[in-house]
Amino acid sequence: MSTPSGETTYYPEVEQSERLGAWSGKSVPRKEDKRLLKGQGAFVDDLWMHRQGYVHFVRSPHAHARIVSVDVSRCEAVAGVYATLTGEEVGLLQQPFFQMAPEPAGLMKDYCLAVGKARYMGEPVACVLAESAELARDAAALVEVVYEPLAVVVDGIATIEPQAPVLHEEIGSNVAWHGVYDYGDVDWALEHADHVVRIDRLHFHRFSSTPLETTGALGNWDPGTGVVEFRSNNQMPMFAAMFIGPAIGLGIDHMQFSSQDIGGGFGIKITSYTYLTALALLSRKAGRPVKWSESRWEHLAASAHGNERTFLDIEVPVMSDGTILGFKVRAFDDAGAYLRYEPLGAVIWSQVVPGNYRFKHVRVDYTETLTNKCPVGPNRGYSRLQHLWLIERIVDVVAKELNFDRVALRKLNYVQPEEFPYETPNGCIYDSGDYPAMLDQVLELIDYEGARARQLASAGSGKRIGIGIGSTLDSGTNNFGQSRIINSALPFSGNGEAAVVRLDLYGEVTVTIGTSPQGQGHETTAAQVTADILGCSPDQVHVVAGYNKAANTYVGFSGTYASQFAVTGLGAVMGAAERLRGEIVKVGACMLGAEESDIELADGFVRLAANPQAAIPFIGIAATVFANVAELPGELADSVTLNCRYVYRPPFTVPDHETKRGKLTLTYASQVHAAVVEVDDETGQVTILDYAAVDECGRKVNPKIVEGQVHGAAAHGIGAALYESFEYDADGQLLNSTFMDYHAATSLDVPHIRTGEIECPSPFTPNGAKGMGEGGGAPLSTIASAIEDALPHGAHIVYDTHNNSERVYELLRSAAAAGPRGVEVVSR
Amino acid sequence: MIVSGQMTVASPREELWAVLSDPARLAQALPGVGDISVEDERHFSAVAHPFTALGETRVAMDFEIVEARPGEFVRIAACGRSGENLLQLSIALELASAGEETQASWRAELLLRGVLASLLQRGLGELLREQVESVLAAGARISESDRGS
Repeated sequence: MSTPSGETTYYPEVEQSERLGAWSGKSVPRKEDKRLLKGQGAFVDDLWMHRQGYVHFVRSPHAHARIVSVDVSRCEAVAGVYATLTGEEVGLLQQPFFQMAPEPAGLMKDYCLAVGKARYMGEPVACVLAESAELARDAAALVEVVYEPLAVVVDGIATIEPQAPVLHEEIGSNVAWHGVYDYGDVDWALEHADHVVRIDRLHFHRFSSTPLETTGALGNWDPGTGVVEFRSNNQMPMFAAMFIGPAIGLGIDHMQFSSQDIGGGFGIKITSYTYLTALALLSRKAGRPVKWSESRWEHLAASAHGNERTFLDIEVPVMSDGTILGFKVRAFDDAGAYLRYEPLGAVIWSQVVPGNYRFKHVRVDYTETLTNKCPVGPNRGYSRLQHLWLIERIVDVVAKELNFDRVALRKLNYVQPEEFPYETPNGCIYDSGDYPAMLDQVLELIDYEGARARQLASAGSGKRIGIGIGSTLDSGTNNFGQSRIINSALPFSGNGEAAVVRLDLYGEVTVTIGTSPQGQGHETTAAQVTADILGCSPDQVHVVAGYNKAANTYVGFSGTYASQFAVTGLGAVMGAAERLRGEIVKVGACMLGAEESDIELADGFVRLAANPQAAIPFIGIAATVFANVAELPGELADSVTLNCRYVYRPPFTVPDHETKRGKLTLTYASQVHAAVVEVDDETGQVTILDYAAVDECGRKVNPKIVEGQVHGAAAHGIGAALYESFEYDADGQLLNSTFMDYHAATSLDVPHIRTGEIECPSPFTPNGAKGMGEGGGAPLSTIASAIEDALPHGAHIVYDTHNNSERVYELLRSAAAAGPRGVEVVSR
Repeated sequence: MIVSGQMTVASPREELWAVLSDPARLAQALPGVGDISVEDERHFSAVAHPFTALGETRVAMDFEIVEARPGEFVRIAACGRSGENLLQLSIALELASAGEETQASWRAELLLRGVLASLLQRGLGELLREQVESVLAAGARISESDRGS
């Protein structure tokens, strides 16, 4: 952010720990894998409580309907049915969930079950608790719901037309949020540019994540203590608590969250708080624990989808040398029927306003709308991947229309390595990177020149070769103050994570963290950094698996989301480990009759650096502090606990609501991917011949884990680009709500992914690492780019993120049709 | 979804009509349907088990003979529910004599909501056609059997 004098103020550079290195940076085998590979993990469906019942949700078959009546009498008469809960009851028992949107959208009344109206197909309208899951399902079929169908709107732009049916009467329209982000002077740029490239429309489609484990929970409202226990796979429990508590009148201390193993989250398990609320109310009513495991169709139809976004009237000012000055666009984001995490998506994208480029002038007129579709939630690369795909489309279209080489155009416009830390037009600070080097490396991995030669040789063969590039960012460690850009009244800012590292009586090092891992290997990486700092082996460090609110420390933003564990989670672990180290050194120095400066920690011993034979094992330190404390001087005994908590807090300030400027994220991992595809001229079938990914995420704590996440994010993006898309008909019926029709990419669909390596340590984090794992949606840009490169001259531009064979077939035929191409160039 | 068709049924028109206009015998003619309960001369209920690629789904259905012109026309409406699925069907059937056989023309309008709509989307038209033709064929068998007895 610039000071009044125009000077940029970066974050303070952080002194990085010299102790890291013996274990950090090594591909230490994952501690979690032993139990997971042996089938000994504990997922929600593995859990059980005495007297538990099983829950089945009755869901609306209509996308929009008034609920005339709900009759549960036949259902409740079935032997083995314990209880039911209806929307009518919920209307009395629950306050509407807290809304982050300003008014009028902030007036939205959202409940855990539909109250009065159902607004998307699959919305829960009642739930049934029975002695078995099968009985609950069968008995749920006896719940008689009378609906009065209403007009449906599924188009994210048409929904704001006056004739569109309004979903939430209390709001008065289907606009959830609107604002204009205006940085630099885009009007000046458009006026002075040598060329203006205009793109009519681009569409980012609706897809989601398909974690192996669907959403689920075991809930129990203890009538004696009033404490509600949630054993769930919610991935951000404290966020859930902020919604559940006020809604049903529970204090934070009356909600106990825990999870051990979570089979994938990707963001979409953040918004399961609505289901947790229903389970809490049902448990209270029934007086017994309740268990719910979502079916796959429930997950696909009614869990959370990724944001669908349409970009209209894009104008791009370009100079004759290829310098792209920026762009302006109207963006419409379709949030579905409720704002469960929204409208945060209306600001999150602005963490990456210019993408990887030096664009100075950007105006985004942003509208978030409501439709009769499943509500959206954060989905791997949340809100940024939509915007980054737009930018990559812009760069490719500019290159094609103005006859620039795609590679050269990118290199010309990239933020250059010597410009880091780099301030974006909206005041974000990109910490480090080397995008041109990443591009060189990824092109080498796919043998770019060879691929171009194959492309030429394939002419006329019926198999078109295309080469695509995607450059994206994974902004990590959010400043929650950015929520104030969409609603200045929201009481959130900054970020943080907490950890405790302790030395127990028998000398065991134990770590607990506020995060709720879903496969990211937290136990391993936390053990690595702790081992480095305490001078022991990761095998000697016990990182408590999963999350338990009663046992683990936490702060308000605790959880696992938004590419931040390597910074916030490990930052907290490192801080706590350093504190523990300080205490161990103090006690050790006293016991060895030495100065603290004479002490070193190695191999699980405290010893004199000058005489390693003079050593005390950790058990000796712990046993003295816990069981032989009279041996220590009182002042020392009073000052050590061997139980050290630390909260890592990134150095954020509050962004400016009016100018929409500020430091929104701390780190910027980057991805440059490239692909070679073959497009069948006759059928439109796309085959990936080669795929390479160069991901940069600062200093890697565990390269093998990073590699796994790169593969996962690439597969996820490839799946979305070619196979995965939620398709609704005009009546709001989801046409592909099972894996028969929603084709999640499998190992048969994903090619071998070559990976490259570049390390640009972040100067702003205590370990030089950057959060990663979301991949920025690079494959979506890469595949679109490759398909466009394969299209015949005169074809319509690639205008959608999802390009199945049918769409590619149409694009191939569009060249012969000689119709509008979706783009025009005005040159001066 | 609207599906229509024609079929020649090996049964005289009056005999086929007698089956199709009688809830008790019509219910017997419905394939994949059980737990039939006849309420009166125009209404009956049954449980259908449409087969999807993921197995059978139990759909409780209420039928009503909405309109009938003896010997030549019948319109039947059906409404079914199965958990989060909703099914509404209206089928109009016209009969014309063709010697000893009957020429049947039919037009069905089907509204399906919920996951069944997703599961059945590709085969729904064909499934409906099969159902109607099976009913007509079963009607012919029942009338033949009545004749025999």
